[in-house]
Amino acid sequence: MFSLWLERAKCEFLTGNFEKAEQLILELLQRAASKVDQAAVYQVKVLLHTVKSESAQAVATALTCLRLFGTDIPAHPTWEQVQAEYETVWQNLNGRHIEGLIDLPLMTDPELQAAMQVLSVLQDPANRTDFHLFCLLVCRMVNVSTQHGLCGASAHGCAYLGTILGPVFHRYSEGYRFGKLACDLVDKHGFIAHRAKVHYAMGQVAFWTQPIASAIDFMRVTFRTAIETGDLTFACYGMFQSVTGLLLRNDPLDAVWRESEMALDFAREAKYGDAVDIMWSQQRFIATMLGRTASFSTFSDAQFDGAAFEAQLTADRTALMICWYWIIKLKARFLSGDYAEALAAADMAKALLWTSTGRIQLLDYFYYTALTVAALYENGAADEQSGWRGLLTAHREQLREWADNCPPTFGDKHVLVSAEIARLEGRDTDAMRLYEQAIQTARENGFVQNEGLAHEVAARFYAARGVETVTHACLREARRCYLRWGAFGKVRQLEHLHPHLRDATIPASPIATIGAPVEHLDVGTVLKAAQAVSGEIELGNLIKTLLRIAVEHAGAERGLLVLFPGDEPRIAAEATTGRGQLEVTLRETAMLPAELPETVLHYVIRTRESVILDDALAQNPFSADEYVRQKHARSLLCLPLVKQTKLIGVLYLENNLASHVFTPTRISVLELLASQAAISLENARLYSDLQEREARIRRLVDSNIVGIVIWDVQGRVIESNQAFLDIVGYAREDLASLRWTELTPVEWRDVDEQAFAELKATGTVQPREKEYFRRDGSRVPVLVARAIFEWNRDEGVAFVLDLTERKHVEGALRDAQAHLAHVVRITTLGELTASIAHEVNQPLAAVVNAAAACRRWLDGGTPNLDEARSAVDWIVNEGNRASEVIRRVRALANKTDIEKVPLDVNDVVREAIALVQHELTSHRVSLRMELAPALPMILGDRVQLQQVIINLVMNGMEAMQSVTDQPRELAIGSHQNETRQVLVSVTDSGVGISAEHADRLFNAFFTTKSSGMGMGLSICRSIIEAHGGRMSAVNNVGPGATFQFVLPLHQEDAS
Amino acid sequence: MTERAKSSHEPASAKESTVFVIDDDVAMRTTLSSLFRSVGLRVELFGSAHEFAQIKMPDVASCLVLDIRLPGVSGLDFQTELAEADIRIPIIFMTGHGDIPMSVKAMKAGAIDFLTKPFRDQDILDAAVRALERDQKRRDSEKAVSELRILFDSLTSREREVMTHIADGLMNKQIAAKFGITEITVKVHRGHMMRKMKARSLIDLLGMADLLGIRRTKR
Repeated sequence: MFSLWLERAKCEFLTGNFEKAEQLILELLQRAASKVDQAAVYQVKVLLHTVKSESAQAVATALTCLRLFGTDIPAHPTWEQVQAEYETVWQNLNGRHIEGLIDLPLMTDPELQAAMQVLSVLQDPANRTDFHLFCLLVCRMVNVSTQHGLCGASAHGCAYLGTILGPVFHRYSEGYRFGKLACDLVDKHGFIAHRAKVHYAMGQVAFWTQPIASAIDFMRVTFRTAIETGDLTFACYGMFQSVTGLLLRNDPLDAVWRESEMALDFAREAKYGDAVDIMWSQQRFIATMLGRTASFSTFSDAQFDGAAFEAQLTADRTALMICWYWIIKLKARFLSGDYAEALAAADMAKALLWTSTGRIQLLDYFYYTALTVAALYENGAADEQSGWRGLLTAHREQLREWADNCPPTFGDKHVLVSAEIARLEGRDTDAMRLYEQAIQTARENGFVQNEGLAHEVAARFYAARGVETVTHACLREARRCYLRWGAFGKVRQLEHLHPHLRDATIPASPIATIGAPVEHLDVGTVLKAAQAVSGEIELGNLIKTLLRIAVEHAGAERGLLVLFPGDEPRIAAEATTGRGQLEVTLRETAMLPAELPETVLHYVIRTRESVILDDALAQNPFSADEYVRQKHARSLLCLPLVKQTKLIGVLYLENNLASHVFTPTRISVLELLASQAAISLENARLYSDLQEREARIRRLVDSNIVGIVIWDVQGRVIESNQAFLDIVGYAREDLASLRWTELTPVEWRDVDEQAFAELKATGTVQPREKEYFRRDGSRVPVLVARAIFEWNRDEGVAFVLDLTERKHVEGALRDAQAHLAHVVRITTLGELTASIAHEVNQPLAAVVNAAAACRRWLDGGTPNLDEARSAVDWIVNEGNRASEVIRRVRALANKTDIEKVPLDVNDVVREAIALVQHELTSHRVSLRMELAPALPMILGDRVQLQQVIINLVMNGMEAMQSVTDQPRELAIGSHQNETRQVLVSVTDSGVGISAEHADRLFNAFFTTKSSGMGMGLSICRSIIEAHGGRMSAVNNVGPGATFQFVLPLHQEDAS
Repeated sequence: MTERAKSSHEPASAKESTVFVIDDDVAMRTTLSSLFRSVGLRVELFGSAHEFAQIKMPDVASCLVLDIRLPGVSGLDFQTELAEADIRIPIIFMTGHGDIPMSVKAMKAGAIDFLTKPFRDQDILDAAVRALERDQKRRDSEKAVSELRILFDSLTSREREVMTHIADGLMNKQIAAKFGITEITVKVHRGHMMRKMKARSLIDLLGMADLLGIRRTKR
């Protein structure tokens, strides 16, 4: 339960809910059953006070807690007390090597462990309140460990003992060894929680004794470890001090800038205000050197207000951060020649130096303060001068101590200050020697900035003594150094002070092709490159040109251009150099880890910042990248191509043969080129999109699948494709004289006029069928659709489809349908044979009877002529009747062309019924005719319509076959319906239509009969539809079903 | 009755034998009428069986010329209906096309003839004459029996018994023994009976008994 509440308190604390946390802590302190529990609560309380910048309370709380364990430590110990504790450290070692402490047993007593934890959290606030307390504390932690065994806090203690051993007790190498021991302890026992802190301390220690790179490495490890363990504070420290290391090492400023950007982003993300501010300060220095600030004498620019920044450095802010700001300002103002301001900054820093014991920032303080004072000295008042003399001596001594411990890092700084002192003391020979030594030492150790500075200071010395040639030489060298450093601001300042420097010819660098500084960019080269790039509009060529120029001019061994055709980056081209030749190949492939360092690429894509690695093999944020490791990448440059804010592509260059190939100066050219390239690439892409679209449309036009015409309202044909010309049979040279209005036969003009009304109203016309005259005067059926151009309503485009083929097909289809109808008709006639025979037989029988009767009337003694005549009349009548029946049957049987003539539907019905009358009779079906009189005419084929009626009657008859319990009645009706169409219905009283058959009723080959093809109704419907009508079937309310069809009226009747 | 049927309808009072024609085809029945009339036969025409059923049949020799397929009731069905109503008019069927099963059925039901249209004039005329003759004969025989029945009804019960026994072939002596009367008495009854029945001989009487259907055993 207790631990649960404790966790809750920690959570509240970690989520920034301090009040709640405090309240919980109070409760917990009362509930805590053991000292260990109490200590755990106190720990949270100390941390809480620390974060709230209540360092004194934090210390008091921790000391209260420690007293629980019988440990009474004063809040402000005397130096003697510190000394005593310090001596105990060495006594406890008892002849053992420092490294031997790694073999100490682990601490087992939980109370001691708890006490160590409290000591550990006390350390940070102690550092802020009382340096003696801090020193005593770290010694105590080591002592407890040597006496009672190891725990995580032991490593912590050792590391921080390491940080003070050098600066406080002048035992730098032992300091390093304790730091190393701390790291080893962490690794050996897996004290993960302490790892970041220990490495950070180790980084601090390393600066004083090890190569700068080593210190930077420790700082980077600190960052990574802190990220892993979620310790954002130390992540920020690690990042910041990495950048500090880079500056100390005089790395090219733009690279340092990029790293400081990352650091700043991270600190902002972490919302660690102090870290953000200190990183800001540092970055302002870099910006000033790069020449990006408003002037070389200020940190201010559009984004940064120096005065406002300083105004908020109030006492409640972390003193360490404020101290470091003033040191950075001191350095900047010294370099800008504003010595008074520099001195003022130094004074501000001096008051807070206690915060920075053991920190590398002290170097800058001692070095630049000394140089500032030396610069001011000759113009200083007498009392100032005496103070300054003391300061100079003290500072030189400090620098000497550092230089003794680690000559590569500190030697040149010590020597330069010594040279200045020699100058002030009038020992010119010593001074000259020392200046030279400072220059040489700086150069040997790669301190390009310090070398430049030494030249500059020396130049001042020579200038004062009127040794002009040497002065110039020194200034030139100084300028060269600053250029190499990338401090364009400083270069401009020098040139401003010494205008003749600008005229100096720049000796060509052995590796640079366009390695000119920004002021001396080879304008011709840039222009040529930019022109070459902007002159290409075709994407492929542009990519090739761009990559070629970039690789050639940067001295790269290999280059890639990455573009973003979709969302994913894809390699667009690759340039390789080999056998003295540069080869560029266009590619279109996805990214592969084997092609380039993806972490670098993604960093560039994300931040839109360039990445330059001078020596990728050395420790850097990307050194873990698989590509870098596998290909042993050396110089590496990754440049974003940005147009406005849009990332167009990424240029990747590498040289695996040499480091430091991509110098800042070359990069500035490449960056110029990149912005031009981004614009050109985007234009080329747009152009290529346009080309593609144009090509698509061109493809449509040239494919000649449809005729396409561009026309104007005056009737001109402005342009057309071959397909259109083929349709109308004209040649291309006829186009000029061709008028599309004249292509249309007179009877289609109405259709055209309607189309134009529609076109004016809506801008488009749906496809319409019409005809065109061909050149030979024949007609061609076409389908035409039109659209007006949005931008010019006098012109438009039309597509024309040749319907000749379709008309053929339609005709064939009609023929096939007619043929099928005929087949069905013949079949129906076959079924009607008996009925037809009866229909013929009946009049024949009557004729025979009448003839016989006639003969008898004539043969008698007194021939009865009246009766005979009457009989002859019947003979004629019935003979005609028989022949009429035969004619009808023949009409049905004949395969005649469809002939649509105006018809009275009632006539058609009657004629059809005549053929089936007998069939009805023999099926005992009674027929009722309900034909409306005086129906309007319809246009139709008599035979086909008869066929439909016969079919419907036969169907109705069959439907009634099984009906025995009620009369079989068939009704045929006709009338004009509400839409004024003629409707014919055949109603039976049969079995009706079952639901399952309803859908398929009119389908071909659907039948419910055991015999029959199932074509009847299907054909009927085709026939009716070919007449422009509709056929339908419904069940009656009573028994049976009704089949009906409607037919449109004949045009003249319809009007 | 349709207009057309009426127009060709002769008065039914005449004593002449009559041919009735039922056909739904006006041409057919009109030309048939002409044909029958040309040989002096009286004809009455009907468009359907229903029309025919409406009229009162004259008590003359007659026959029916009937189309086998008629609207409403078919010819065959109508034949059955007539038989059931005990109307024994001879029927001549006409059909549009030969239909063996139908003709067999018609003939079994007592049809005179079954003619396929078109038919020879002589065939239908012969058939009509034959039918009328048969109808006349039937009518004549029906008339004789009814006269005998009146005579038979005038006999005393003893005389009817004597007649029955005589028709069965018994001798006077046997009859006397059966009744327990004298042979003389039997002879007296026999004499009265013979006189009342207007029988000229024993053979004549036996014929009468046959017509009356009073013989118990067939010879």
